[in-house]
Amino acid sequence: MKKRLLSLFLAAVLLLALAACNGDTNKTPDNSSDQPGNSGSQDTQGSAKPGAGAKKMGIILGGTKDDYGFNLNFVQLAEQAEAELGIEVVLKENVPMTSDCEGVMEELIAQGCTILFPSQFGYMEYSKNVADRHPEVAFFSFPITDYVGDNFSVIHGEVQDVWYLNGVLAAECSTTDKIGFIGSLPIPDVIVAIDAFALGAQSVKPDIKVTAVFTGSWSDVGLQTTSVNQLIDSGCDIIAPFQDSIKTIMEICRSRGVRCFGCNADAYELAPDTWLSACITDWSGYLPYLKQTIDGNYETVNISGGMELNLITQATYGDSVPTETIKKLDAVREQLINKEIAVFEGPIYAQDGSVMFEEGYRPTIEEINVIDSLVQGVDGSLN
Amino acid sequence: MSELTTILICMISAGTPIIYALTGDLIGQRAGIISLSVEGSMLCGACVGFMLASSTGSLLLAVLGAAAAGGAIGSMQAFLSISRKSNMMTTGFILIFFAQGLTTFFGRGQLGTSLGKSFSLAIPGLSKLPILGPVLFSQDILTYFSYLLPVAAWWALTRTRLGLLICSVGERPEVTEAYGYHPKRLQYGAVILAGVLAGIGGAHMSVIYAMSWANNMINGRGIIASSLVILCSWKPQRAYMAAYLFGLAQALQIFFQIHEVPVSMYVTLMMPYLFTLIALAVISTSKKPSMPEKLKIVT
Repeated sequence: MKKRLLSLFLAAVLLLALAACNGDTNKTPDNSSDQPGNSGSQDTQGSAKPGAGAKKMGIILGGTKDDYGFNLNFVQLAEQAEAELGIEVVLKENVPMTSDCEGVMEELIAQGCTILFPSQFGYMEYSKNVADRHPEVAFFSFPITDYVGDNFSVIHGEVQDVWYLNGVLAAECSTTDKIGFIGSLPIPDVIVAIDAFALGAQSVKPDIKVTAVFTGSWSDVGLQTTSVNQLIDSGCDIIAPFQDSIKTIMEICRSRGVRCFGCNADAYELAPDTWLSACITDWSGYLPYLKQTIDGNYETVNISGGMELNLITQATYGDSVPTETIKKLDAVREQLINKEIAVFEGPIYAQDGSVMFEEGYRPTIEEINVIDSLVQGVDGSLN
Repeated sequence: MSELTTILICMISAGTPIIYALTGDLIGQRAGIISLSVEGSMLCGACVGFMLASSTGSLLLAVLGAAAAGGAIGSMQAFLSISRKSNMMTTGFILIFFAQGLTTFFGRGQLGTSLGKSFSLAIPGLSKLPILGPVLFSQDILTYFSYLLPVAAWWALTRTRLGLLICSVGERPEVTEAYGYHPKRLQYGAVILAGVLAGIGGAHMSVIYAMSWANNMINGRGIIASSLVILCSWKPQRAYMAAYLFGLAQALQIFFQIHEVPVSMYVTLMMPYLFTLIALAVISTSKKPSMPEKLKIVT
C-alpha cells in the first residue's frame, strides 16, 4: 500500500513538473477568434495578394531566443516589425527541422498569421508544402532555396563583405598577429566567412595568420571551451566564432583577457570590453518588403545581397575599438559598397598555392557560394 | 606555454566531470544498478550549480545545490529500478530526457547570465613546478578533489565495512540479507550517491570549465562515463586512466587541427568515442572477471 501511494505521489510530481514546463513560449496570446476570415480562408485568393492586410506574422526558429546568436537575431526582427509596422509577431522556438514543422506552420496560420518567416534551411521543403496549401499566406525565406515562386520569396543577406570588415578589424586589434577562428562545420557559408575574414585581415597585415578549427557541431560547449583555450595558448589574441551560441566563447575570452567577435547577433551587452563586433542581419532592408506585403502589394522576390541593399551589417563596436579604427572601417565599407574593391577580387590563392580566382577577376555570388577551399594564410583543413 | 602543457591542461579539465560521474556510477554498479541517468544528474547539477554560482557567487552553495539536484535524479532512478524493478537502462534513458526538458525550461533565465568571476585556485608553490605545476595545480578546488575521489572510492569499497556491504549486494544480495542487512537500502544509497557525484561533475562543467550554462551542455558525457565503468573493470583506481583518456582524446580533437596534423577532421572529432570503443573491445576479451554478479544477469 505504501509503495502504491509512493508511486502515485511520484507520478503526480512528474505530472506537475510537466505542467510547469508547459509555459507559454508564444510572444502573444492566441486571439485568433477576434479575427475571423484571417485564418486560412480561401476567399482572399484571386482578389487579394498573399499577406494583404496582415495583422500577425509568424517566425519559426530552430533554437531559443536566448542564444546570443542566430535566433536572437530574429527576436530583433520581431521587435522592429512590431514597432515599425504595427504587426503582431508570434515566435515559435525549438521547432524541429522535420515534417513536424509543417504542423507548427499550420498552427500559426490557424492563429491568424498571414506572413511566415521560416529561419532555417531545414524548414524549406516543408515551408514550400505549406505555401502551396495556403496561397493567401506570404512566405519569406531567410536561406537561399530553389523553391521561389508565387507566395514564396527569398531574401538572403550575403556575409562575405561584413566578414571581410571583421577581418580588417581583427588585424588592426591583434598584437600577436595570430587570430583563431572557431567554425562549426565546413559548409559553404562557414568557408566563405573564414576566407573573407582572412582576406580582410591580410589586407591590413599581409603575413597575419588565421588558424581555423571546426567543432563539428553548432553549440558543443565542451569543445568550444577546449578550442578557445588551445587557440589562446597557441598565441591567438583574437577569437572569431562561427557558432550558433557564442556565450561560452565570450566568457572564456573574457576570463583569459583576449577579445572576441560574435556571430549573427549583436551581443555587445554581454561583455562590452571583450566584444569586438559581428556580422549581423540588417532588418531595415527587410521591412520594406514586409510593409509592401501588408499594404497588399506582395511581389515574389528572390534577392541576395549585402550591405548595399541594407540586408547585412556590422554590429555595435566593442568599447576597446579605437575611433581611428572605426574611421578606417567606415572607409573600407564605403569602398565595398561602391564596388571599388571586392572581397574575392583576384588574384586569390588557395592554401596549396593553386589559383582560385585569376588576377583582376571578380567572382559572381554563385561562384562565391560554391567556394570549397581555404585561402592562403589560413591554417586549418576542411577534410 | 608549451604545447604539451596545453594538451595536458585540457585533458585534466575535460576529464574532471567524467571522473565524478564515473566514480559515482561505478559505486552504483558495484551495488548492482547501472545508472545511465548520471547524464541527467550531470545536466541538473550543471544547471542548478550555475544558477546558484551566478546568483550567490559561492562555489560551496553551487556544489551543494548541484549535488542535491543530481541526487534527486539519482533517487528517481533508485526508486524506479530498485523498488519498482523497472528496466534500469530504459529508466536511465527516460530520466535523461526528463532532465533535458527540465533544465531547458528552468535554465532559460541562465542562458544570458554571466558568472562574473573565475573560481580557479592555483596552489601556491606547487603550481610553479615545471610542466606538472600548471597542469595539476593551477586548476580549481573541484579538480583537486577529483584527484582524491577514485582513491577514496577504492579505499571505501575495499577497506570499509559499508563498502564491502555495497559490493556484496552487487554479488549476492540474499547473502547480505541473511547477515541481517538491507540490500535495498544499500542500493538506494549507492545509486543516490552516483547521482550526487555526477551532479557535482556537472557543476564543474558549467561553473568552472565552460563558465556558462547552455541547453543540453553535457552532450553525452554522462553516458560515456557510464560506459567507461566497464573500461575500469569496476575498479575505482582505474577511473583516472579512463577519464583522462577521454579528456586527452577531446583535447587532441582541437590540437590536431591547430597544429595541422594530417588526420581528417572527421576522424579527430570521433576520437573520444573511437578510444572508448577500442578500449571496450580490448577489455571485454578478458572475460569480465570483476563484473558484479548481479550485472551479469542484466547484461
